[in-house]
Amino acid sequence: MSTQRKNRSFSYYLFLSILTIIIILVVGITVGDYFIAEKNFEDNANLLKNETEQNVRENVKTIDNGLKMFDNTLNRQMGEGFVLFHQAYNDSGGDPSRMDLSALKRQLGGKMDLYIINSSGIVEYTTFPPDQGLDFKATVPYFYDYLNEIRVSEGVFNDRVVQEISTGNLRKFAYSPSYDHKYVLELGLAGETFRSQRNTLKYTDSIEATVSENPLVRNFRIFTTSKRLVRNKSYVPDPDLSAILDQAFLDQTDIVVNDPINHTALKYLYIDLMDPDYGADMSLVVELNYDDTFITNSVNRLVTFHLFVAVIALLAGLLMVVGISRYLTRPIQSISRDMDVIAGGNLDHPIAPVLGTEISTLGEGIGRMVTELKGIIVQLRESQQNLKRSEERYRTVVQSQTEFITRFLPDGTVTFANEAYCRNFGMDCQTIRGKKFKTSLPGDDTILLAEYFSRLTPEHPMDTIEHRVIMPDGEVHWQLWSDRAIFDSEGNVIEYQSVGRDITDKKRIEEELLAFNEKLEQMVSERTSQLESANKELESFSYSVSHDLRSPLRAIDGFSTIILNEFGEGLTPATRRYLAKIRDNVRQMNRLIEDLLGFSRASRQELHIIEVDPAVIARDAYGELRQEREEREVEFIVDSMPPCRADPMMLRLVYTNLLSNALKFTRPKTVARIELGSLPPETNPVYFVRDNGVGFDMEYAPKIFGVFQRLHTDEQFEGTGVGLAIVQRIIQKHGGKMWVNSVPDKGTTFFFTLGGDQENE
Amino acid sequence: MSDGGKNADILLVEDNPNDVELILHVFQWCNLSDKVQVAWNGEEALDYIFGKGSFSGRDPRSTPKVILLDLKLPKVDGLEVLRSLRRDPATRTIPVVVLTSSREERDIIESYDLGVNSYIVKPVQFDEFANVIRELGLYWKMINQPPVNPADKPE
Repeated sequence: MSTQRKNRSFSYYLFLSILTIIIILVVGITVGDYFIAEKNFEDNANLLKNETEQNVRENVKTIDNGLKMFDNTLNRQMGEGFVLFHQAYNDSGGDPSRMDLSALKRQLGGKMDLYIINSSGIVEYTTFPPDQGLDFKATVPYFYDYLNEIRVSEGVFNDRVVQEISTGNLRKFAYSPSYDHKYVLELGLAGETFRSQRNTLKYTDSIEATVSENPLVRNFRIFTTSKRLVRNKSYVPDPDLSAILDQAFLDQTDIVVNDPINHTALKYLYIDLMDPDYGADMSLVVELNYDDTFITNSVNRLVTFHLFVAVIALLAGLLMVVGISRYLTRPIQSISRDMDVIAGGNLDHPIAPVLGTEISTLGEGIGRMVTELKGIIVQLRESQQNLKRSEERYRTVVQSQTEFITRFLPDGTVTFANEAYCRNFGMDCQTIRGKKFKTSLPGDDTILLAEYFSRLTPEHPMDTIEHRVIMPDGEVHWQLWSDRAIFDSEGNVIEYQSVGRDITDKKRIEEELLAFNEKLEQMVSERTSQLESANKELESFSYSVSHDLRSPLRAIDGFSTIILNEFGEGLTPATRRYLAKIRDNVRQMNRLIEDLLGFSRASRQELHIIEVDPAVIARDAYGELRQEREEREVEFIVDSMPPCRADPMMLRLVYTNLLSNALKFTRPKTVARIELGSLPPETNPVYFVRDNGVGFDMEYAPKIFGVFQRLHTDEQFEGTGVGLAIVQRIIQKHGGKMWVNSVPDKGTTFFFTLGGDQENE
Repeated sequence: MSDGGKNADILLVEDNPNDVELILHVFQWCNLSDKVQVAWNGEEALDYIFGKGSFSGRDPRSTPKVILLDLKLPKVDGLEVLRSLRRDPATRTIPVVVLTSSREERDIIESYDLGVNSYIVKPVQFDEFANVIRELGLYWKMINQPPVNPADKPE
C-alpha cells in the first residue's frame, strides 16, 4: 500500500507555491533577455562587417581607377617606341632572328625591354633574359587568348602597370601585332619612379583607414591575381591559402573560413577589377581577419550581469513570500486553535474574531456549524434510544418466531440464533453464539448445499433450498431454508442470514401424492389401451353389422316380395298381410341398423377442425330436408352467429338431426316456426335451435339423449331414437356441452356449445 | 356350377346364395340370365378370368363385359380380386362394379383407388335392390361400349 503523505502547514504550501512562481518568472525573464541581447550583438557585428566590406570594395575600386589614369600617361611614350620596333621588324623582312634587339633597346633610351612572342604564346626573343622562353599559354592561359586576339588585329594595345611574372617588379606593358601577323611585339617599360609615384595611391592605406573603424577586424592582407601579397613580392602562399585564392579568383566569389574554437573567421573578399580594355587582370582578394572573441566577451559579461540581477530578485521574492504567508496564515491558525478546543469537547468555546472577510466568514460558519452540531447530538441521543427500543421489539419478534432464524459467518461461526433454531437443533442459545456449528446432513445433501451456497452472488444474494437434516436424535427431517448472503464492497461474503422450517410432513404428503399420481397414470394408460382395444372391437362389430346383419334382411324382403309378386294370387288375404308385415319389419330393422351405424361412425370418426360459419352450415342442412317440409308452412329464421371451430361435416350432421327433429315435432302445428341463433359470450357462444313443436315434459329430459330412447310411439312420430344420441356424441367430441329446455305444446329449445378452441375427443 | 368354357357377358362374384338367387331372378325378368357366370369366391373368379383351375381350357382372351364384385368373400376377398385384375394388362380394362353391403368409407376409398368403375351399396329393400340390379345389367351389357380387348381385334 502507499505511504501516507506527510501533512504540512498551510503557510508551508503557500510559501512553496509563491516561491515556485517567482523562480519561474525570474529564470524565464533572465534567459529570454539573454537570448535577445545575444542576438542583437550578433546582428550588429554582422552589420558592421558588411559595412566594412562594402567600404573596402569601394575604396579599392576608386584607387584602381586612379592607377588606371596614371598608367595611361605612359601610353604616348610606348607608342613612339613601337614606331621604331615595327620599322626594325619590317627591315628584317619578318625574321626576328636577324633583328638586333639590344641595339634597338639602346636606341629607345634603354628603359624599355623588347619581346617578340610567337603564335604559340612563347617569348622567342627578348632583351630581358629572365623571360626568354616564357610560355604564356602554360602559365597565364587567359592572357595567351588575349595575345592571339592582338596578333590578328591592328594597332597598339596598352596594358596597365603590373608586376612582372618572373620577378614581381613593376612594369608598364604594351602590345602590337607584327605586320605579317606572325608575332606579337611587346614593349615593357621599367621605371624606378613607378613605385614612388604609385605610393601616393595605395590600397593598403585606404583599407587600413576603413578597417581601423571596425574593432572586429584584427588585420588584413591583399592578394593579386598572381597570388602575391601587395608590397611583398617575395611572399609565397601555403597550399591551403593558394587553393582558397584560386577558387576566389576563378569563381569570382567571396569565401569565409570560420575557426569556431578561437572565435575567429577569415573573410576572403573578391574585388573584380577586370577591364576588357587591358590584358592584365587587376582583380584583388582582400583577406579580412575577424576576431569574434569580442562578441563572446560581451555576451559573457551580459550573462554575469543577468545572474546577479536574478539572485537579487530571488532574495527579494523570498523575503516577500515569508511575510505574506505569515500574514495570511495567522488568522487561520487562530481559528484552528479555537477548533482544537471545540473538538476537544468544549462546544461552547467561542471562535475569536480575525482579520480579513473571507477568514472571518469561515470563523462564523464554524460557529454556526458547532451550534447545529449540538442540536444533532441531542437528536442522535434520542434516536439511539428509539433504536434500542425497536431492536428489543425486533429481538422479541425474532425470538418468538416458530421459524428457525440464524446468522453465521462463512466459516460456520454462529453470530445469532433464535430460540426456535436452538430448540430445533437441541442447543443452548446462550452458549451457541460465537461458536462454530454445522448441521449434519446426509451425504448427497452436503454437496448439494455447498453448491447452493456457492451460487449466491451480489447480483442474486437470495435463494431457497429444501434439504434433509439429521436431527440430534438421529431422525432425518426435511427442512426448507431461505438464505441471504451479505457481501462487502469487494463481493466477498461477510455473513449469511438464514430462515428455515421443518417440512417433513409436507414432504411426506408430497411423496405419497407423487406415488399416487404414478399409480393413477398407470391406471389411465391401462384403461386407455383397454379402451383402444374396445374401440377396435366396436369397429369390427359395426363392420359386420353393416354387412352381415343386412344380408339376411335383404333375403327376407326379397323372397317375401317374390312370393307376393309372383304367387300373390294363390295366397289368402291374411297371408298377403303377414308377408306385408314381414316387409315392414325388415324396413324398420334396416333403419335401426343404419342409425346404429351412423351413431357408431359419429363416435369413431376423427374430427377435422376448421373455422366455419354455423349459419351457413345450418341453412345447408335445412335445404337437404326439403322432403320433410313438403306441403307445410314453415317459418325458418337464422340469426347471424359468430364463427366457430368445428368439423363441418359433423356440425352439419348436428344441424340435420336437430332440424329434422324440429320439423317432425312441429307437424301438428299449422305454422311451424324454427329459430336458430347464438347467445354470448362471443368467445364460446351457446348455439340454440328452437321450435314451437309439441315439446315434452322436462321430467324426461335426461333420457332423450340416450340411444334408442324415444318419447313417442312410431304411430305418433316415427324414428329410431338415435338422432339426438348422435348429436350429443358429436358435441362431446368437440369438447362442448348440450342441454335442452322444453314446454309441452309450446316447443323445445336445444342448446349446445362447441367448447371454444379445444379439440377434445 | 362349373361349366368350363362358357364365355359370359356378366361375371357375378358373390358368396351369399340368397343374394345370388335374387340377382339371377332379377336377371331372368329382363332376359339377362343366359350370359351370367357366377363365381362363389375370389379364387374362383380369378380362375375364370385367367382360364385356370376348374376353368382351365377357357380362353382368357374372351373377357366379360362387366364383373359384379362383392367385397366380403371367402379365400380371396373382393379388393384382392380387383387388385389382381388391375395389375394384369390383359384384364386391366375390364369394367368392375363393386356390389356390397358395406358403406364403410375405407372400402369406398380403397375400391376407387384400385380403379373400380362403380361402387354400389346393395339396398336392403328388395324393390330398390331389383331396380339397381336390372339397371346395372342393362347398362353394362346393353348400353355401355366395352373396352377393346387387344385379343379380340381382327388380325
